[in-house]
Amino acid sequence: MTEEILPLEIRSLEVVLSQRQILDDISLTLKKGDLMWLRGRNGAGKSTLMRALVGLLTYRGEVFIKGEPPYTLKAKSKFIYVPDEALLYDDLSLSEHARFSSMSYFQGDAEAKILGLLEQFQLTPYLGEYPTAHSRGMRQKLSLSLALGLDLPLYILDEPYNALDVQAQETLSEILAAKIKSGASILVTAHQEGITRSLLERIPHARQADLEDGKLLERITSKKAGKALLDKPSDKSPDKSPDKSLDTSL
Amino acid sequence: MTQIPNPEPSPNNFAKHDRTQPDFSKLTSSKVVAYLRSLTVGRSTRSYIKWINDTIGWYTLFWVALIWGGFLISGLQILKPLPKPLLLPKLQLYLTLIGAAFLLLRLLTTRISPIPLRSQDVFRLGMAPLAGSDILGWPLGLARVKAVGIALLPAILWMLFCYVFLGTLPWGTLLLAPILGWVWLECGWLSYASRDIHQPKAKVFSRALTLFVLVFSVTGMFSPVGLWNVLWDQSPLAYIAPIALLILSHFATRSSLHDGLPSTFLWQARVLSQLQSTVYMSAMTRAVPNQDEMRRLKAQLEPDRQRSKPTVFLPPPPASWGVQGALLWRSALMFYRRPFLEHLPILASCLALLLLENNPIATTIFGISLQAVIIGLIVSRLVAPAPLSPLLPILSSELTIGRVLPGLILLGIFFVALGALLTLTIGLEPLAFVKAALPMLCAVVFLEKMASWGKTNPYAREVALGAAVVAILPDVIAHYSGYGQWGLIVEAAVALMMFLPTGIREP
Repeated sequence: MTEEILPLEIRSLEVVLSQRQILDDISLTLKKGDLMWLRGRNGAGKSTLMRALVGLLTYRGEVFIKGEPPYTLKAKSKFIYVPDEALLYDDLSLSEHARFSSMSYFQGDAEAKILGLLEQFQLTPYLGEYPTAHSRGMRQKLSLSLALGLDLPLYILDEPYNALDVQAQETLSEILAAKIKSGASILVTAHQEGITRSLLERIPHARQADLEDGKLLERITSKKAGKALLDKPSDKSPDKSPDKSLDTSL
Repeated sequence: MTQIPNPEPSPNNFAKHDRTQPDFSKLTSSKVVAYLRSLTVGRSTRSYIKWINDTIGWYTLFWVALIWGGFLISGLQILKPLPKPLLLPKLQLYLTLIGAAFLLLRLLTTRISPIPLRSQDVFRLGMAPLAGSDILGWPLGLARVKAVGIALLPAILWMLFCYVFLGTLPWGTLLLAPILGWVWLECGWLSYASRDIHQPKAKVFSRALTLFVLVFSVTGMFSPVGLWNVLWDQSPLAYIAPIALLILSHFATRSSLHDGLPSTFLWQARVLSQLQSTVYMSAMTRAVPNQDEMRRLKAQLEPDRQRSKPTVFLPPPPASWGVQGALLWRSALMFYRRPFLEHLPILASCLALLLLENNPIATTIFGISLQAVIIGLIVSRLVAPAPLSPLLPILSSELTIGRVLPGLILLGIFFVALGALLTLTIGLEPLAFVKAALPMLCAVVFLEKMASWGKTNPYAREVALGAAVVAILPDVIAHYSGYGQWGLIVEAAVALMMFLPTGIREP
């Protein structure tokens, strides 16, 4: 039986910025269909961790996306990263963004899916417009649609709920749940407890982890999630307590 | 201030876009990037054309070009070669050494990507599974055009210098300069890429280019086939080495890009794009760029330089010294914490000014211009940043003292040390020491005044050059009016006037 290539595997990752250790000995794996919710106070290093994973920061340690280092073409075709700020072309309309996004990942059917997501986010009337004149929330919806319309094994989303209205937050949770159901893996950061609770209700086996002092600690906060986590036997670590460093495959 | 309008969505483009569905089975990385550039570059160009049409007008541009052209031609017509050309016996050696050092330093020291990428491109192109050569195609092309254009300026100046002072006109410079500009950019890229373990070709080509530059710099000294011979030799053989270097570097860059982008490229490009937008935004709002923000970003690019965590300290002054003391302390701390390597250009400029003043060429228009250029290149480094709050109740003279005094003390130390050394070794005259130091002092003070009164950015190159020109102006006017001996006195008087207590600074 062939061993499954993990969508995300991090071994002993360290990030030092300006001689300050931001992340220390982070190990983490995401399996197919996993969602990990990453928490931490401002400056804890959540965005730094995500940037290091996708090759936007130098790091020590090993990162593999579907078995490849993140800067290789093979790895880039397996994941997408959505930063906390929507970075869009000022001179491409929304529909052209959808076309370009599907082209850049060579996925012919992605354009229709992106347009479908834009419809769910109620942006269809604005398809022919440039995003420059749009609000931060509308830009965020476009940015998320461009990523989630693609069919990829791994999605890395930095604060995706920021600037979204209540209805769009619910829509996003539903889309993420559907992605997980289809076998994709998601690493997401979010501050809003209410939103993430709704997300955890939709995805009972979701995992949570806190970044504290550069270390990653996995916690169990929801009853369902806790049961799901504890029901799974741990192969690598004998310690089954809820608080432990994330070098285990849960 | 006229705003550049956002481009309007074009119904024609939109309709065309919807009709022509791409054939994904034949889609390549280059076609994806071409699709993007055709829309973004095309629309930006049309938007700028419309903006010029609506605001400046093409006739205005035409007249400006005509006036500048006429001005340039009349300037060239008044240039006359010296009746007795200067004899520079070791000119070929100096040119070879300067040229070789120029390229070798680039090949051996570039650690940061010389090719910028917009932040949108970093995330939407750089992180997509597209070939590095396609992602960098457009920005690399723009960087080449810029490098070639910049290289042509010193080439023209060199030709004018040769025509006036040496009595020759080396037309080959006009070919060598664009080649050098192009090669300069690609050498920087190869040097940067060669530091990545996943770029073996870049490492090999970088070494090959280093060897090429070394060998053909040496051969040029005793044969017509050399890298720099076109600067003094009209033989067709002189063109062989520069053209070969261009072909080699171009091939090397193409080959390196086929290996993919270096693993550090995207994060460097992200930081560089943030730096660029900080400068751009400050230019748009006519404000001084946020130096703290820029330092924070630079610390990400060069984390070893201890830019963001201080390791040396100066005790703060007692509270009774007031705002003046605080400003002086802050400025002194900035100079104290600056790495010594960053002080070296100031030291080198002091040396150059002293040597220049000790030479008869100092009183010619060429010598005076050279003095202004040297001062203009360095003067910004001697002015400390302004206090963050513009509302401080402080006299203008106190602000000037707070921002420039520590820099002037540093300058004084350098001038005195070098002056003493040159007096002992080459017999430097005391007057040459004063002539070299005073315009620099004037320029520092004048730059601070321009910054605090006129709200200009003292770290912008053109502002610094402007201050340098103003600083040497009294000496030039006095010299050409036949009162050369009064030049220094006028400069000293102007410098002293800058320190007069002129009231509370308006925010």
